[in-house]
Amino acid sequence: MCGKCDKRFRWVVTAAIILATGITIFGCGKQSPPRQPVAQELSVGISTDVDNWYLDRFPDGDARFVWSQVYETLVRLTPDLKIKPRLATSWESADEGQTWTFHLRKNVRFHDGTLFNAQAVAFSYSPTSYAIRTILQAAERVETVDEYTVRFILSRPMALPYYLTHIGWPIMSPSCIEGQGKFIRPIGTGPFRFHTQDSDQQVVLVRNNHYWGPRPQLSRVTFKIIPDATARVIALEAGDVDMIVKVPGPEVARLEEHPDISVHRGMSTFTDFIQFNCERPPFSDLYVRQAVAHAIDTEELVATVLEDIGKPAYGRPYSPIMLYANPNLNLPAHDIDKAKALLAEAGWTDANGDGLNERDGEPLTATLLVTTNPNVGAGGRFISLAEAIQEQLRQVGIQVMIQLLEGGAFLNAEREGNFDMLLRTGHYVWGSYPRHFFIHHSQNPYSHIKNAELDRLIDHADATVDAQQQCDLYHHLQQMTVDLLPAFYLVHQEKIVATTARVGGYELSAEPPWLNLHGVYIKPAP
Amino acid sequence: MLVVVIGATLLAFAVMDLAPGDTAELIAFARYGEQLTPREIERVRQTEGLDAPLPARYVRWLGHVVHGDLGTSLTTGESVTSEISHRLPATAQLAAASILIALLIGISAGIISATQRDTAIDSISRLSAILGVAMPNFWLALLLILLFSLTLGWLPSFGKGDIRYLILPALTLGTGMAALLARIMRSSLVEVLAQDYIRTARAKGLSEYAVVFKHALKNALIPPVTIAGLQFGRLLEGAVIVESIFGWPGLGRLLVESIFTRDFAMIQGCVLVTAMLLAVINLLVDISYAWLDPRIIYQRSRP
Repeated sequence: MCGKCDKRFRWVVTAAIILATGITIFGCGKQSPPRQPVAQELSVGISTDVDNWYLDRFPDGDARFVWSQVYETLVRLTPDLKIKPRLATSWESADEGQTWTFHLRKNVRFHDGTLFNAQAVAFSYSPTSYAIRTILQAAERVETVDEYTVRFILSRPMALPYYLTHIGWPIMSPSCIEGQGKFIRPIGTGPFRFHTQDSDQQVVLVRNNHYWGPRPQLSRVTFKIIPDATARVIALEAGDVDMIVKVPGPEVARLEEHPDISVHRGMSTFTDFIQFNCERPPFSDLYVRQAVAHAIDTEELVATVLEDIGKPAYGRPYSPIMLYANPNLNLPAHDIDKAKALLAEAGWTDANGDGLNERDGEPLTATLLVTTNPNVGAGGRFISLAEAIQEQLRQVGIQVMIQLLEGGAFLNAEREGNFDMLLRTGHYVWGSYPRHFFIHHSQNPYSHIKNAELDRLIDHADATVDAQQQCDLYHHLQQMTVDLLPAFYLVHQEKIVATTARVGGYELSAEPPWLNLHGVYIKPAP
Repeated sequence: MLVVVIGATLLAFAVMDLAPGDTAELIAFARYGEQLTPREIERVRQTEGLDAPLPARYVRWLGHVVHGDLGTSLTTGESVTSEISHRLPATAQLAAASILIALLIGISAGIISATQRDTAIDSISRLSAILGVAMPNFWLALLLILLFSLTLGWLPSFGKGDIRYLILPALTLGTGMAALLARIMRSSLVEVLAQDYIRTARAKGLSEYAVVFKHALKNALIPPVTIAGLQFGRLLEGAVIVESIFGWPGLGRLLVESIFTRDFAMIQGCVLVTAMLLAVINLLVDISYAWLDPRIIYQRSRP
């Protein structure tokens, strides 16, 4: 009798202990003492860590969101993508774009107190910098004229100020490196300075109290690395972070209903497109490319596949928000009969009535490459787009085979020309300068069309400095791309940032990389 | 063990080389982004020695490893040794916690099932075991986050910190293994309980508790322990997904990211460490057999 009592008593005690431990462990999470006044600390969920801080390499993945808080460029873009001074106050070219002189902002100090001057600019565009080694190869040398004046000597004319808006090649202090040239720490002029980094977990920035512009309101910004997009959304909902970037499309509608979350949406400069392999049949035939352009309904793609995230491009290579976007393009209308007529003109008809076109007994088939590499392709979004396009093209009798390939295999198939179409995003674009068309320049390793006239026009536009002439040339190039169809442009992408209700002062700008935290603050608790 | 390590790294080397895509191009892509020029790709090929034939590259790599040098990451320039030593403890912690959870849940559920055979408890336990095996990791992870972070607000949804951060990822990773262990534990114990010596023990008038825990359990543990050891490899596999969802800075994530960029120095380092880890675990499993069943004696076979 008593033994049983004992046993029961033991059970009760054990249960009580477990319960108490549980409450102690889990309860801790709930207690957060009200802070008065509210700490100006923001945490932002991003998808990749900052693997590189130095100018000899590219800021891969989401690193650019962090770089743009720490580093600044000579020239910047306004929210509507016009150029505007930043660390340079003015610039001019004496000889139609072959030499450029930049006058620098005075009394700007780097995070370590060293002075921003012409030497820092020369250092940032030295031959070790990857900008000079890749996109700015034309820059032969950078001269320091005096303390606050630098001159870029180029081997050919180009609209250099546009190039210098890129956050991937910002101004860094020569004190970033030690004597032997080894990188020590990131030192820029931006509103926030580097504090600490825990590899693959977080990057902590603190306020630059000596910022040359208006004082930033946040005292600390923590970038948390959350690779999984859904996990990022949940972290925001759970209040583990205050802000997330690159919100996945399917989550947007739900978050917009959420009372404590604001969703910021805006057009980006990226446009998804189908690139044709113009160097082999069937797409070496312009009629077949035109048929595809008439067969694809980009409105339907946005409405049904992308849940109204983004805007239909109708074939337009430039997003309407971009500088020099041509509003009067003559675009191919969605017209299935026209598409079929074009195919018939090219010799492709449905002779045996199976719904698919043939020519000389050969069926009209085409491969569509999609990369599964999350850094290059847009992951699941691209796959859904590809499937919808497959269905739309079947309606005009083109049989599309989708090939999902890992990043390396994709590049391989592409280099060997072993494909008919591939899905790409406007990855090769920054701001409004001509690299958007450079993807179709025969010198580009990723171009799949050879057209001397197109090459000539792209080079000409790139070497043009006068704004009106630039505008005319780019308008012309856009129409030429629509007519020549090296690619068919599908969807102008949107960028989406979500914040909790306590975040104030955030404005989504069109300026890449569109995460400007300078004016952001934390609202006092209600 | 040396054979395992050399075999694994050689295989990884060969597979990465055979995989489609130009390694130099992919590395250049990771370093310099989209503004690539063919010249830059060639430069990467030469400076990283990618123009040498495969066997020469492997031997050179092995030579460095023998001297304790795993090289530097081809994309970030970080030392491979320091990167791995950063991540390994995180993954080890996660794996240990998962195995602990799996053993705890799996063994006890198996024992309950076996002793309460064909009762409602047994059926529930077996059903949940099937569910546990079938449930994909990433889905379970999201469900757990939804419940414990979003709805209840008890646990953080991602990151690494105190013990609270460990619970959800370990639970996710441990569940599948727990379910498998429960099933194996059950069938093994059922089998052992049917044997003669158990009947003898019962006939002696021993309590059911003594029969199960003192006589049957130790013999019944051999299959689950074997499986637990073998499952360690799958645990590392699952860690890749779980680490990504929970933002856990472990080896799995590092390996996957390196594979995307063809950072073969980092891949080789990860494979080397993982292979060594698996070899050690297998050794431990073998040793535990001897402890569980003294009849198993390891000795050199004599001609």
